[in-house]
Amino acid sequence: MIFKFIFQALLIVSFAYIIYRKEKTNFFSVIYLSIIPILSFFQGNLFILFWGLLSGYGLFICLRRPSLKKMFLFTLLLLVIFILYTPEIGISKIIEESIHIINQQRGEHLNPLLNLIPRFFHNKLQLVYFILQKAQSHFSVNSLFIQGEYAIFSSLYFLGHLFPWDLIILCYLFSKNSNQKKFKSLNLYWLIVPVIYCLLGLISNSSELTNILVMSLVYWLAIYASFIFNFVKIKTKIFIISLNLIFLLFHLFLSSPFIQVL
Amino acid sequence: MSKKHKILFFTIILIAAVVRLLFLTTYPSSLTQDEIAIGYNAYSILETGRDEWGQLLPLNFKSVGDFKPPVLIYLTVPFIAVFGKTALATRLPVALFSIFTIILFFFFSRKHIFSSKHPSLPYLATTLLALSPWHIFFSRSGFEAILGVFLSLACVYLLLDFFIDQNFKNLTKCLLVGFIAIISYHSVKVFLPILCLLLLIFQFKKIKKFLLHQWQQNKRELFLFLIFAFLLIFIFSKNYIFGDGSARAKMTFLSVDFDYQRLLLPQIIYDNFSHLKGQILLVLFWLKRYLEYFLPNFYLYSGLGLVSSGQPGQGVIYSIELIFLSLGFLFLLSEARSPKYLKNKFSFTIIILWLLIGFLPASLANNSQHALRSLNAIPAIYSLIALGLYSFYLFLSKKFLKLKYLLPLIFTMILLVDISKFIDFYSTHYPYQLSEYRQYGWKEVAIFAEEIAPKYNQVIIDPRFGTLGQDIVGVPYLYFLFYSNHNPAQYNSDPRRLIGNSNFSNFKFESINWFGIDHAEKNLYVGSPWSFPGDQITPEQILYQVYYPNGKLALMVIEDKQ
Repeated sequence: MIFKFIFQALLIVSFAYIIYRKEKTNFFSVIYLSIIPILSFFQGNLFILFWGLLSGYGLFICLRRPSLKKMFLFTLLLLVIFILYTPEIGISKIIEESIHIINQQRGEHLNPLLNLIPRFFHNKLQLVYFILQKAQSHFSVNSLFIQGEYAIFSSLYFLGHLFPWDLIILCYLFSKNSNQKKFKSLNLYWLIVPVIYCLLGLISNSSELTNILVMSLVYWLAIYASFIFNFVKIKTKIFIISLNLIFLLFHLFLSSPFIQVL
Repeated sequence: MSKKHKILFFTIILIAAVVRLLFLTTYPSSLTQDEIAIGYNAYSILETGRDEWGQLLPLNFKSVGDFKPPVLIYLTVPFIAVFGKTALATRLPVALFSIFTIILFFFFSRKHIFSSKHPSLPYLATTLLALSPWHIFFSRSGFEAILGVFLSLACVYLLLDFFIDQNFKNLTKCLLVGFIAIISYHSVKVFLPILCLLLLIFQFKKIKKFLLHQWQQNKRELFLFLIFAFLLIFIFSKNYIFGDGSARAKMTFLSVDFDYQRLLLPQIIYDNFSHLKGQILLVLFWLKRYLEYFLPNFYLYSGLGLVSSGQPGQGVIYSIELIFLSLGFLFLLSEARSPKYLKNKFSFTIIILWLLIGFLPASLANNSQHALRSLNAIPAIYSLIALGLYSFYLFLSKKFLKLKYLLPLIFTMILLVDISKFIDFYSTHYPYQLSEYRQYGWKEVAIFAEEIAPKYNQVIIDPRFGTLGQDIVGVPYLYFLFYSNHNPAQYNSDPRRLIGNSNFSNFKFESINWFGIDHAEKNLYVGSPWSFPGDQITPEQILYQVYYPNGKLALMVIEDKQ
């Protein structure tokens, strides 16, 4: 247990340090990237953590200054992860779960067999809604910033994958620096990436793959958010890091599930 | 307005009127307990000048567990006088005000939101609002929220007029309309004051200049206005913030939410700081609830709640509109610095504030994604959809000339499919799945029991109902009063009423304890199938049965053995 914890911490800090060196972020970014909630309260296996961080950083590199070579390499990385963690395609499971609802809604019409209306409105196109529902539970603003999915908490517990104020930081960076080269890609990919990730995650039946994709997306956003430390004064940097630490400590001493784990 | 524009405008209003008034008494199927309470209290006011509890012209109408805002009830009085105690009289005021909202929204968006260089935009926004499932659904039932939207729109319209012409009359009118608005629906109490206050702050320089000018030139009028404002604030605070009107807020505030109370607070480790921890958790809980109003499911397939939870149904807007809502938001951001489609920079502020504050009251109350409580946001939502659709159309038609006529055609066709889907959910699935939540069946049993009641010693009515068990407690006494000829003066002065009892004449409203009742008395019973022991009831005793549209047995009328 303790070795796993040490390896986990080393892996997280190593990635944060590499990003600090390669991307010329601020030293505070290393602290920030090491303590984001999804990593601080991570309980899965080390491989998932590794693939998640790697694909998150890969996504950042790939989208910062897009090129065919980078795209190809990143797609290759995703393919490897997909092969490793997707033993079966999961769309059939969604169909299975939703087909009885489609049938029920058809049956509520006066003459469901002869009437064209139920067939027109209630058919497999409704699967889009079920897919969206699943996507929303993993990749929405809420699940990223307010209510993540942690094994040790109830599904209603409020701890996002990132800190709640990261949403404000990202919006600030988005609006203030959208013309800078470093952030230019964010304009375009802000909405597209989650959609692609949703589709990739949802056609698989693997929760491990979903975890990797969620971590990848979160880490990508966290790297962007970490650039805030390049723009603010030292007092603000200390304030943000302190706030993050207090937030983590608050959750640590707030909830009984933590005590049980510790 | 040119002749062509006039025709267009009246066509939009005609469409709005048709979709809101056609089959008004048939769809939705039955009067809800709120509608029946509004209808009966309006009738009681008409006949006696007092509400169902005997209060003379009250400022708050005591209801079951809370207090109803007074505006809609007083507005319903003339309709009850003309059409009698009918579903039409109860629903018509709201339906009419929803049409007035469409008209007002047109003038509001034309004058204060969209640039006059793009005259089509207000027409587009108004058409979309006229066809909005969100607005139509609540317009066809007696929901006070519709009145709240209309009055809020009127209040902001007058306030913006005041910013332009600096006329005291507009400010006074704005204050008066604002006062009526905040007492018309609970969520407007939060929404409108914050919105107006922020708009005033954004126009601080103008206000300061105006006040200084008035102080120098027109002190008397300024003082009179301040006294008037103070008086309204005093009446509002006394009756609706600290008085009875606050009961609803206490009942529905976020801190009493089931998820928060039963699932989250128990996760806290109890120590000296438990209260503080709970408060911080409440803030996070609120943030989560607030952000839920920006999730796609609310707009696409579950916002209106026309089907049971877990099923894809109808969102608050049509699915095609979500694309343009997102685009509209992006275009709006680009309008912030150099307005092209908007009137000016302040129009940007109005839409953003309206959007953000519109969802605030709903997020502060229990229940997530509440379409009714968040109805305040509807003008901002449809302004954004229109902006997105229009600018996208202009952008594409400039680049691809051939698409100029094709795009509107494609959009209209998809919209028609969406509208048909809404009609399907509204007319088929909603009554099929959720009739019991609209108190379906109480009207029928009330009319039936009223006719035969004199033959029995007592008519005992079980207020609990529901096909799944005793999970819904209604107010059947209001249905029995509304659909009978019982004199309201007699009812609201009945000694039993004074101690909070709902019983009247030989009608008694309580749970039916079959084995504890003396069956030699020859009573009549009204209740759900599970209110009676099946093995004790013979078919001859069953006088009447009401079925929900899904074929499940709703209510039974049973008499004692002869």
